Amino acid sequence: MSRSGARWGAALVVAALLAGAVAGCGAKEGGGSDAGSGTTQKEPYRVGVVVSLTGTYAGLGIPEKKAIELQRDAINANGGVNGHPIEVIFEDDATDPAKAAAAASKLIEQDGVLAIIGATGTAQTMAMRAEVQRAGVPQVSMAGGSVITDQLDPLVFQTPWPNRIVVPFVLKAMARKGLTKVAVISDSGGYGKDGHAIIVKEAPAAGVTIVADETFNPGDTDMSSQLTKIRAAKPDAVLMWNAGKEAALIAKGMKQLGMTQPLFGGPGNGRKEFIQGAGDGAEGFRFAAGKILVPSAYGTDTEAYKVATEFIDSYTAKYGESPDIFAGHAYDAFLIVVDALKRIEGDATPAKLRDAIEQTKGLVGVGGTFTYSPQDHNGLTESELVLYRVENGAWVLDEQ
Amino acid sequence: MIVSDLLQIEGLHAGYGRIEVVRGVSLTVGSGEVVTLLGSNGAGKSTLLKAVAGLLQPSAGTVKLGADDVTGVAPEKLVRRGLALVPEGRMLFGSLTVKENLSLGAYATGVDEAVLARVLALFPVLKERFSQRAATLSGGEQQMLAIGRALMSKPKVMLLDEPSLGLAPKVVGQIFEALDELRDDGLGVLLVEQDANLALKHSDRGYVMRGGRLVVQGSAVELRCDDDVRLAYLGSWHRKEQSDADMEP
Amino acid sequence: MSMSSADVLQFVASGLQNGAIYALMALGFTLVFASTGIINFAQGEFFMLGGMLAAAGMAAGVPLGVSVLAAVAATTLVGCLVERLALRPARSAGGLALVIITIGCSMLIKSGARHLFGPDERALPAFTAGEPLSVGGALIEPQAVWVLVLALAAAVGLTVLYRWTKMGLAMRACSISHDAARIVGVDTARVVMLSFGLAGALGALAGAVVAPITQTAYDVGARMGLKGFAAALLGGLGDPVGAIVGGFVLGLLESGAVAVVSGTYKDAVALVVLLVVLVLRPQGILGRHLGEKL
Repeated sequence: MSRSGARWGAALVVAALLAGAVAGCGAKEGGGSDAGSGTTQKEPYRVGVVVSLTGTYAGLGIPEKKAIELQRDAINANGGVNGHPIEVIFEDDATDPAKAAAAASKLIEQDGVLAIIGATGTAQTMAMRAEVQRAGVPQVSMAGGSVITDQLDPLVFQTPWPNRIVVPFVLKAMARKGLTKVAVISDSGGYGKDGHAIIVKEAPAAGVTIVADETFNPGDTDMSSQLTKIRAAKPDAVLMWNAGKEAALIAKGMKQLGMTQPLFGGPGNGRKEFIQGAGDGAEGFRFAAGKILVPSAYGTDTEAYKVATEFIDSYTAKYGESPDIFAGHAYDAFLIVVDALKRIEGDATPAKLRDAIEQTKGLVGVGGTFTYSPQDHNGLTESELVLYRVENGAWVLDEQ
Repeated sequence: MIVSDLLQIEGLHAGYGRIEVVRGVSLTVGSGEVVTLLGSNGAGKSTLLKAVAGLLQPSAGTVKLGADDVTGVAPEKLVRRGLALVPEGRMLFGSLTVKENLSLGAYATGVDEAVLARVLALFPVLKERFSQRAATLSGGEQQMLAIGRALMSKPKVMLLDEPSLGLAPKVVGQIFEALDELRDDGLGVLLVEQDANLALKHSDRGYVMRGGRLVVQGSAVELRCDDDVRLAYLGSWHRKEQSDADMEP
Repeated sequence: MSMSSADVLQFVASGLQNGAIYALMALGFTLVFASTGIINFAQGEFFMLGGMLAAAGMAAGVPLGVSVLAAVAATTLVGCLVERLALRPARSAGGLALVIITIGCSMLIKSGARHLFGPDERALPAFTAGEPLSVGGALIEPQAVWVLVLALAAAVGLTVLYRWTKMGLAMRACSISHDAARIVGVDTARVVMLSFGLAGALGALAGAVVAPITQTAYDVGARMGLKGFAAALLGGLGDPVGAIVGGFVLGLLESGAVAVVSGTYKDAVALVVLLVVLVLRPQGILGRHLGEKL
C-alpha cells in the first residue's frame, strides 16, 4: 500500500517533469528537415538562435522566431546560401539570463553552430558573452540595450536601435513639445536599467529636468504606488522605459489615477499586446522606433521601403498578422548573418563569419541600413527613427 | 439477558510494518457485557483495539459485528455500524469546545438530544464546561468527555482504552460507576485497563494478553482468584515477581 | 516632492487591493495546510487558471459573468482532481513527497495552460465599466471595489462554513487530528478533497477578479503563489483569520515600501519583514503553533 503510493507519486512527478521538458523542447525543432529541396545538397550551415519564448519577453521572442523561420524557409527554397542549406536551431531562454548562457553553451558545444542570433533581452544577451568569447563564435543580438555594443566585443553585433540613439531622440522630442519636467518610470531589468542610465545622463543636454524617478521589477502587477508618487511630483509628462508587459499596467494605472500627462516610451512598447492590454490608456501614447511600423516613412521610392513591405507582406501571408518591431530585428539579424555567409569564400568557419559580419556595408534591412566597422557593431543612426502615436488603437506617425 | 457475540474477533493478527504485535487473538464481547483485557505494557492491547476499530489494517483474521464481517473497515464507517473507540490518549479536539467535541461525536448519526441529555446526566461536569475548550479541562474531565463523545454516536460496542490512566481515584470511581450504568443500558464494552483489581470489579469476563496472545481467560471472579493473574496484575504479592512479569516481551 | 493626504490614501487603497488578492491566496494555502499539513505549491496555478479560463471563455463569446463563474467552477474541479489523482494515491508516502507532488502538479498545469492558451498575456474587461471613484481624494477603480467586495464575501462565506456548518466542524476536526476525526466518523479523505476544491475556488476567484486590472498570462501563478504563501506564513499557517490579516499586512507593506523606499526593493522589504516576524513569532501574527500533522 505505502510502496505503491510512493510509486504513484514518483510517477506523477516524473510525468510533470517530462511535460515541462516537452514544453521546453517544443522550441528546438531543427530547420534541416525541410531545407533546400531540389538542389544538390552541400553540408548545411548551422545557426543557433536564442530567444525568449516564455517569461516576460515571450511577446517579443515569439515573433522573432517566426520571422527567422520565414526567412530560413525562403532561403532554403531558393537553394540556400552558396548551395548550403541553412539549419536553424532554436533555444528558449525563458527570459532568464542563466538559461540564455546555458543555451549558448549547448549550441556551441553540442550543435557546433557557426553563429548565434540572440538573445531577445539585454541581460540575456550579456549573459551569453563569456560563452561566445570562449568559443570565438560571432553573436548578433536582437536586444536594444546600449551596453551590448558600448562594451565593444569583437564577436558581438546588434540589430536594434540602441538606447544611446533612441533615448536622446525621445528626450529631444519631448522638449520640442515643451514638456521639460519629466517623470521617469523604468524597470529594474537589463533594458530598463540601461535606458534609465542614459535618460539621467542625456536629460540636461536635451533641456529636460527629471522630477520623479521610479522603478519596478519585471513581473510586477501593480504600479499604482509608483504612479501615486509620480502624480505628487506634478510632471509635464511621463517617460517609461521597459520592454515587457508591465507597460500596459502603467498606461492603465495613469488613467485610473486621473493622470492626464502625455506618456512617452521607447521601441520596447511598440507591441500590439500593449494596446490591447492598456485599452483606452494607450491612446495618445508616443514612442520612438524604426520605420517598419509605417514603412511609408522611408519614402515609397526607396530600397528600404521595398525591403520592408516585402517582409511585411510575406510575414502577413504566412502568419495572418503583420510583423512588429521585434520580428523586424530578427529579420535583420538573420539577414546580416546570411549576407556575411554569402561573402565567405570556401567553407565557412566562425572566425571567417565574424570577419565577414564586421565588413557588412550598406545592407538594407527593415530596421535601417547597416554598416558595421571594427569600432561600430550597431551601425544605425538617429535618422532611422521616427516618433509614433497611438490613435484609435493603431500606430500613426506623430511628427514627420 | 446477555446477547453474546455482539463483537467477535477471530484469529486476529496486526502490527506495524514487519513487526507483528497481535498474534492470533480470538475473543467475544456480548451486549450488556463488560470484558476486560489485562496485560503488561507492550502486550499488544492498544494495538488490538486499533486493529478492531479500523485504525490499523489487520494482517490476518476476522472481526465481526453481529453477523457482519467488518475486518479492515475504515473507522469512519465502523462508527456508523455501532462501534465506537475511546482511544489511548483520548484524542480529543483540544482547541474545540466541549459542545463541539460532543457534536463531532455524533457526526455520523446526527445529534440525538436524548443521547446528549444522557451523557450530560452521566457526567454532569461536562454541562458546566459546555462552552470551554477541551484542552482546558482536567484529566478526569477530559476522560469523561472522551467517553461522552464516543457515546454520542449511539454505539452498540465501545472499545475503551485505559480510562483510569493518570487520574485521581475519586474521578476513576465516577467513571467506572458510569460504566456500570452503561452496561445496564445494554452497551457492550471491551475495556483495556492497567488497574486490574478495579477493572475486574466492574467486569463480567476478562482475558490476559501476553506477547500478542491471549494466555488466560475466564469470568471476572475466576480471574481475580487465579494465582497467575494475582501475581502478575493484581499486585498483591512480591514486587520482584511483578517486575519480572513486566519484562515479558 | 510632498505627499498629500490624498496620496497617502492612494497608497493605502493600492495596498488594500493587492492585500485582498494575497488574502484569498493565503486562505487557499491555509485551508489545504489545515486539513493535510502540507504546502500546496499548485495554489499559484489555481490563480492563473481563474484568470486564463475566464479570458478564454470571453474570447469564445461567453458572457463575462458566466465566464468568471465557469472559470472558478472548473478550477475547483482541478483542485479536487489534484487531490484525488495525484495526492491521495501517494498519501502514505509522507509530507515531503506530497509537497514535491504539488510542485509537479503546478508544472503540469502551467505547461498545459501554455499549450492551450499560448504564451501571450490576456486581458479581461472590468466587471463594471465606469470612471474611478474618488474617496478622500484617492481614486479607486470600480474593479478594485470588486476585488475588495469579493474577497470580503469569500472570507465571510468561509467563516460561516468553518464556524457554523457540520462540514466546517469536520474540517476543523481534521486540522487537529485525522485519526480523531476518523473515529468519530469524519470521512477525512473527502474533507481533504473539499479543502483542495475550496483552495482552487479561492485562487481562481482571485485570479479572475484581478485580471481586468493586471492582465493575466500562463506564467503568473508562481509569483502570486509565493506572495500568497508569504501572506499565509505572516498570518500564521493554518489559521484562516490569520491568512486574511497576513494578506492585507503584506499588501500594505509592499505599497508602503514603494512610497518610502523604492519600487525595486518592494519585494525585498516585504521579505525582510516576513523574516523578522517569523524570527520573533515563528507561529505568525495570529497563529498558534505549527504542529506536526498528517
